[in-house]
Amino acid sequence: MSAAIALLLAMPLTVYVLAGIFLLKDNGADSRSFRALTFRALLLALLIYLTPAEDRAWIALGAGIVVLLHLGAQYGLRYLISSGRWPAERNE
Amino acid sequence: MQDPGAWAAPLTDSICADASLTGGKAAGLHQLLTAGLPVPPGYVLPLPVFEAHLPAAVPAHKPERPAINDDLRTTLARICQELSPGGEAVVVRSSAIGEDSAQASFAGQHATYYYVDAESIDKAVVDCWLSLWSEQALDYRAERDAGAFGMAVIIQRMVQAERSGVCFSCDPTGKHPDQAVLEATWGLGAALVDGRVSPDRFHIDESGRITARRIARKRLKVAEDLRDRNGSRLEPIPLKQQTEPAVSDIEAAQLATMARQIAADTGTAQDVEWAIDGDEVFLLQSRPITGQPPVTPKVEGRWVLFKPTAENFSEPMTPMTVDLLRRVVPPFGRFIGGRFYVNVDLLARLLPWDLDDESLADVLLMRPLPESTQLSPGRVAGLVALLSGAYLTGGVGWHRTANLDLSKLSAFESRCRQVLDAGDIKALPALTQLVLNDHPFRPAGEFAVQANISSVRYFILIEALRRLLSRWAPDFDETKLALICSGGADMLSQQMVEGVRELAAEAAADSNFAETLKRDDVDLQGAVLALGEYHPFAIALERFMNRFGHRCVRELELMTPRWWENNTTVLAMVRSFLAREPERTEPYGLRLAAEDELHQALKHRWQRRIADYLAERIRYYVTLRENTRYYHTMAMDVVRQKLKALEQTLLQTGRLRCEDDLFFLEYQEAMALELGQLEWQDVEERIRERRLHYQDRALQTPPDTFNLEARIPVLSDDGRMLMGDCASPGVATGRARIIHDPTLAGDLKAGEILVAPYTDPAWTPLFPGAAAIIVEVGSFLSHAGTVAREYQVPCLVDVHGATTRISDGAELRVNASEGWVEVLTP
Repeated sequence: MSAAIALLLAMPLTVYVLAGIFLLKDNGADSRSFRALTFRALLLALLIYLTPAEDRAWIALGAGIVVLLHLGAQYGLRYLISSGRWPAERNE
Repeated sequence: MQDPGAWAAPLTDSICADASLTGGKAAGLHQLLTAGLPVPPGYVLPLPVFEAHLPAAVPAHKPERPAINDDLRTTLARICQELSPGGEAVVVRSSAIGEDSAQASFAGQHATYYYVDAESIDKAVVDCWLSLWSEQALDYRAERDAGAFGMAVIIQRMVQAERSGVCFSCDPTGKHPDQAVLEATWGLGAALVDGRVSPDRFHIDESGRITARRIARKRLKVAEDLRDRNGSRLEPIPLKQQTEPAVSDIEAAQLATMARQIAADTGTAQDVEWAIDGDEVFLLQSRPITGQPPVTPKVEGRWVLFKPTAENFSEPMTPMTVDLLRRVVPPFGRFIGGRFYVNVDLLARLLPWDLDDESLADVLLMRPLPESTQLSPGRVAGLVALLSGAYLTGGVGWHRTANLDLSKLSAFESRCRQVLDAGDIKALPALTQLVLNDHPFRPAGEFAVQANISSVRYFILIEALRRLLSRWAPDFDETKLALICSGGADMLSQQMVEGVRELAAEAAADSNFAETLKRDDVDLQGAVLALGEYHPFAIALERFMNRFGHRCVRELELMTPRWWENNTTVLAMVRSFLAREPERTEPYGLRLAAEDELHQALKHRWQRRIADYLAERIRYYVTLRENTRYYHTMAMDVVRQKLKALEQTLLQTGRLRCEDDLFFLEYQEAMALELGQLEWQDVEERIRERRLHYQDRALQTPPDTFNLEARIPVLSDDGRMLMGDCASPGVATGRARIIHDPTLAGDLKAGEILVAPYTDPAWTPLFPGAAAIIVEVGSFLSHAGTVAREYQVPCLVDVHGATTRISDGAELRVNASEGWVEVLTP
């Protein structure tokens, strides 16, 4: 059970961290989003800290899934379009 | 024919009344002459002449070219001499048996030869006969079971048409059955029939009043000397003349009266082809308006028109635009008939309700569901799982645009400039680079399209705030809620309206120029050019164009010239402002007052904080949505410029002959032309066919759904109550003013209710001053609603058939909050 909780907590935390990194590039560190994300990320980090140490491996797994999903979606779409594989259907 | 010597009969001869001998076209012309209408003099070679030269003709076997009988040759020479004594020319026209009937018009299917002289008339007549076996005519015949197979030929004096076109005695789309529709262009009408030129279009009511007028940019006309075989069939029209109306209002009314007279004489609605030589009007042809080709293409699966973008598809997209856009639209949709539809079967799986077909169509058409509709727990769980997955995949982008500094969006403008300047980036890569986020590490401001999609969340927030207030402050006025949630001065579409207002102020400062602009018959572009570049208005116009010049009516269509290319629409908006002088509203002060009122209506401080937070978020996302639209239309401008550059190359190398033909090719075909893998001859016919299809589609109302029954929302059977979606709440009473064309809205008076088929940015200047707005298409998310909320004008969208079921001048009561309009006095 705690492993599943660790996994569930890690995934949004990774989204926040990724979004925070990108926001630094987008808007600068003083943006409202950055502050809100930092707050939420710290909250999640605290909750993760409270999970048993033996479940921490699941956190890495959750983070890895999110990074893969995010970058996979971005680059996957780019690949599909540039290779002409998508959209394959004729529309007229 | 009993007398073999009588090969030809004058069009006035009674034999011409028999369509089974002389074809529908000749019979129609005979009827016009009998009614005393002006028809160029001519003769007809009836069916027996065809049969004498091509006995036992059947569609399955194309015969050898027949030799012309000597007597007929003599007769033709005599006719030529009589009709063109000075050796001018005649026109040789097909009049197939069964042609121009109510079942099949055969328009453009058989041959017509202009500028035929005595030497070539024999050949033209035989070519006319043989055009019965052309592939396109045989296909048309097979599709329609057109009956008898034979051809009469008409020979008439060639009219030196300065202007020409067609006039329908009633609207062929059926939308405005009480109005005649006139299409007009410069020169001979063949260009119009071939679909190469978008004609001017006038709607004329029974009193002869012009109810709608769309002046198209007519770049080409049929060459005056078609005898030059090496010359182009079309020639350019001088710039000044391109945007001038081809006929005056009086001429349009006269032609409409003639068309109505013919319709009354024949008992059927008529499609009349006309030409004007000097001041002399000629009727070239009259035929019954045929049933439109089937509106519904054969499509597999179930599809629903995507309402939020329906306002962009008031006319179908050209093949090039469809071919490019289909590569960047989400996979849940596709283009059908040049319009964008979403896949019902796919989206039905994502909805949290179990719905019958009609309710499903309602949801996808963004209409409200019955309150009794219950959520399905299994579907809700599936949806939550899906949204969670979507959040993990795309949540980063969601957060990046949650507080995006709006000024950062200007990075998109720089990116557009970079892509435009990069000569090696062609149209398709330009589109994909600008529209799709091809690199996650770029700043979010460079991806206006993603930010635009992300901003749709305001729809959920508004619904949440509305539901909360219905519990916490049930008596709070919904119009004030719309005011609280309106975007404010940062919204670029509002700044555009203010820009037009400033232009109108500059124009008004020069009273001579203001009076010139107000005149209906003025050449707007010419009037501005005459001012000189240092006139305050010219300077203000240049400033406006630098900022908003990439916008236009139908922004997603790549064939549409942008405002910087053709400023007529902007000048027409200025003229509209000059005529109406709408009051400037002060939304900020009104909004503060409404916020105070809301605070007083809420009992607890935490309620006020939640309401304020939601309202602030909604304002931000509304502004983000409108502003990102301003930016992502720049991408379409860049792609258009890339395509125009390619078109120039192809025109110079002779692989294309006419401007805008490129938009009737698909992208790979255009690339093949550029590489020399295709030549003009390879694409000429497909361009012609696609243009004709395009014009057919433009006249049809797109179906809301394919293979799915949708409800037509009507409140009462007598048609006095119409239903729509609330896009901007409020109640208003006033007279209806039906406007089909935003550039002709000078007669929209303050306090009148604007009724329109669709709206896009070009309509925006009409919004301030209108008592209410009723639009036939659209949804809460569409442009009409967003801008109407800014001006606190009640707005009802998706009002089915509003422009036809409401009469111009009718007294209306609009309750946009509850979603209905009542016709008080028709």
